[in-house]
Amino acid sequence: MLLGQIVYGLVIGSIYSLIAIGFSMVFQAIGLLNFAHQEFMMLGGLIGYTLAVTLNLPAPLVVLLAGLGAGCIAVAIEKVGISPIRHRGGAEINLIIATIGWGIILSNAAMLTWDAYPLGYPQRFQGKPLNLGGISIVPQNLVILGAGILLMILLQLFFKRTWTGQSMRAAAEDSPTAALMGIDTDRTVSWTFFISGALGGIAGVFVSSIFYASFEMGLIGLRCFAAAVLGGFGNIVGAMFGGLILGIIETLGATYISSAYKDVIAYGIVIVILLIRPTGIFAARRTGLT
Amino acid sequence: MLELRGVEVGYGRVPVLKGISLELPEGQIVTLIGSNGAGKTTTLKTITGILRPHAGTILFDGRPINGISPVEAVSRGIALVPEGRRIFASLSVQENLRMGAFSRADRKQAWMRQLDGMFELFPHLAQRRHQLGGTLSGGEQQMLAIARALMSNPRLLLLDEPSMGLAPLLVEQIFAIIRDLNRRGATVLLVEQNARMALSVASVGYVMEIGSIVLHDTARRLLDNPQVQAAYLGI
Amino acid sequence: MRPRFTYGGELFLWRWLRLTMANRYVISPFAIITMLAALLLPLLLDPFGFLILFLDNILVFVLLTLGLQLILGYAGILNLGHAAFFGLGAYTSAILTKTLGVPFPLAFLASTLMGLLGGLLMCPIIRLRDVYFAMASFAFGIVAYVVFSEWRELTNGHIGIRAIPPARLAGIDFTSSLNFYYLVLPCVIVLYLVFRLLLISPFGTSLNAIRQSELAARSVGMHLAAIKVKTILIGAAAAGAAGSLITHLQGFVSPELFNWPQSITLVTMMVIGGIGSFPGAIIGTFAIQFMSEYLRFLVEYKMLIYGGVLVFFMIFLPKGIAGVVRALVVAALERRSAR
Ligand SMILES: Nc1ncnc2c1ncn2[C@@H]1O[C@H](COP(=O)(O)OP(=O)(O)O)[C@@H](O)[C@H]1O
Ligand SMILES: [Mg+2]
Repeated sequence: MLLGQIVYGLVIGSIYSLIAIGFSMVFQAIGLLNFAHQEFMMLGGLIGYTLAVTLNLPAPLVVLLAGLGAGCIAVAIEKVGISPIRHRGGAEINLIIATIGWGIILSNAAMLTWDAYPLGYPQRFQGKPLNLGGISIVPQNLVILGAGILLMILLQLFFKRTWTGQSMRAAAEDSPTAALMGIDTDRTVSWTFFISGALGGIAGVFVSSIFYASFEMGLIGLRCFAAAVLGGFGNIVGAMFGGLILGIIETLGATYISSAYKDVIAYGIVIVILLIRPTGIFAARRTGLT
Repeated sequence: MLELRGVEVGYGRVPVLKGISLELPEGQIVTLIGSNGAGKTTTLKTITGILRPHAGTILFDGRPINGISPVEAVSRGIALVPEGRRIFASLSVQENLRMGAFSRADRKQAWMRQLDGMFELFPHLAQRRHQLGGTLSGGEQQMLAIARALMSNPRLLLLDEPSMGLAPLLVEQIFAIIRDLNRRGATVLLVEQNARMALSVASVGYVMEIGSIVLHDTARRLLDNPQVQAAYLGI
Repeated sequence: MRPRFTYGGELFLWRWLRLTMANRYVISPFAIITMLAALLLPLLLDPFGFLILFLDNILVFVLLTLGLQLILGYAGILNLGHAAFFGLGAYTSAILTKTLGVPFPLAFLASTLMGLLGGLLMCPIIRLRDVYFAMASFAFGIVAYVVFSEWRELTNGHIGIRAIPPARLAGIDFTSSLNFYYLVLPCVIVLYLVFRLLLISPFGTSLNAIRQSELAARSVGMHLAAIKVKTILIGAAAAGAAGSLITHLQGFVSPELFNWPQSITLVTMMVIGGIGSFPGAIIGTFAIQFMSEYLRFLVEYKMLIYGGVLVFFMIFLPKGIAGVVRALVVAALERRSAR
């Protein structure tokens, strides 16, 4: 029972991680709280629905294309409505409001496109439950957990090995100096939005295949903001673990305390972490205190 | 190789450089000295395209480069070692150096070779190659900053106060490196507050005061100039 | 011959306006005209119509945005949890008057105090730097919302508290929209005048200094934390009072009104109106409320347009409506003084 709960918590947590990484990456790159981020997840879920049901594509292709679609939309929004404000030296609050505006636009455009009803994925996404050493597990959950972890490993390799990934790290730390090296910092910001949007979109397919897709599902993603803080906002490895921990805490909390207080736990953690350890529980960089 | 003619720059509406002219012949070390706030860093920022001149021209190889971006500047062969070193603290020494080669068209093939060259030049860095940039000492960071700039294989190296905050012994070492680089063919524009050291390695010196060039002569003669001695050499 | 209403060659009204903008006078001629107009406005309206009820509602929100302007626009604190104070005030008033039969004036005071108490609860996070404070205050608002919706014994959960008795004061019943108008309008005017007075006091001088440059203000030894705490407490108390008023205006409370989207909407009102301007806060509140009401004919496109307007403002008019007006006025004043 407990083991099953933990495994399920890890599955949910790995999805949270994918979303939390996006919050963190954008914050690290341009210091922005992106209140539109959860909508990339929503878009991924809905695009995935169309690909899976209308076009009847195989699951891996659905995941890939939905991620690509959400990533491209994220870049488009960054180019049209975020970077122009940054280039004019817009205040933090202006940027935050702009992302809120984009969030509203995205979720309502999605409602107009896909309608307001919840859309369930076809049965082939779930598979038959397996019995592993006494725990009953839906194979889909194992696939999600595996794919989530694989994506995070690939992301780490991308940041460590590739020119683009490394230049993104450099530009996120010190953009003017990165420009002196010949790094096009506008491009690294666009890459940041693409990756964060794509990971969010993939997470959206995962969430929708467990529950359903809907224009309102962004609300689930907003909670990952708490996971990002838990891992030390702007710390990508931290965000991964933050997501996993949040998934487990939430699943166990829902079983042993009450699911109504789920958000109090998550956001209570946010406040406490920010106060006692603003760098998150994993790292010792960057401080939020004045 | 580089020539500034009547360059005027400011931050917003505040004018900082009030029409400065200077010339940098190929293969030489030219130094720009002046007290704090004179506008030396601003001059370097203008050459590398971080700031845009309001008036005047900047010629590189005889062609105007006014208003180019920093990215263009480095790809044309102008590399800046910025004031305060600005090492990427969360990147390892090797990663910092790799970023230095980012602008090169042949970076995929060339950077490893260039890296070995840098480690030969700065054996100290070789031992630290996997350490994070933020954990290096001040002197090591300065070496890394210079090496990082050299990774782009620049034709013109701009150095902004490389001796700042370093112990005398390290300062000697840094200047020895600069002289050595010059001997291998690098053209250097050296901005310094440590006027004595700067004038001892340079062939030509410019003296800057509140946004204008007030003196310009060979380094030798500047060292003997009583005005310079009184203001910058503490004699 | 010169016109009679001049002062050293400058038209009297212009001088008045200029000095108000420089925080030398409490009130500008336009504020006086606006207040008079607001007092007389109901004479033109149908006392049982929708519009006056709508105005009542907007004026309650003005209390919220004025307080938030002090916090966000002047002290530069990115508060994304302001609706929590609003909710605290609302539930206090609802529970006191409905369950315990406390008279409205006392409940109103208690709500104001509860708002203040909410402000005190927020104080531990005041030492967080800008965006980190924003995250923490956002979390603060969500925690408050969950308490409102889950502490069922006290708040009746998502259903909320209904049939709350109307406000009564000195024998007057404020059930009708018209009467209520004359309850909330004085509150707004008093708060506005208090805030303007604050601005010309030494406290206001420090607030302006902080707004210009937090770094500089700290380096001259200003006690930033104390100033920030004060602004939060004042704004939170105003929000508590607004909560009491909304409770008695609507006759019911439910938690959704105090969830995080409400906090965000309040910030939006201020940014659209203009950060760092009290008239801006008022203009923004009216603009957003009218937009949400009168864009209804767009049905399902309404929110799409709303989001588009937000983005448009942030890209092209980041200083909000007040910023545009201010630029025009300053240009006009400069042209006059150049003559
Ligand atoms: N970012 C900036 N914004 C406004 N003024 C600046 C900025 N940077 C430098 N200044 C001003 O420009 C002048 C020259 O500065 P700088 O070029 O850094 O001098 P130096 O490098 O010779 O010490 C100084 O008066 C300084 O106050
Ligand atoms: Mg300098």
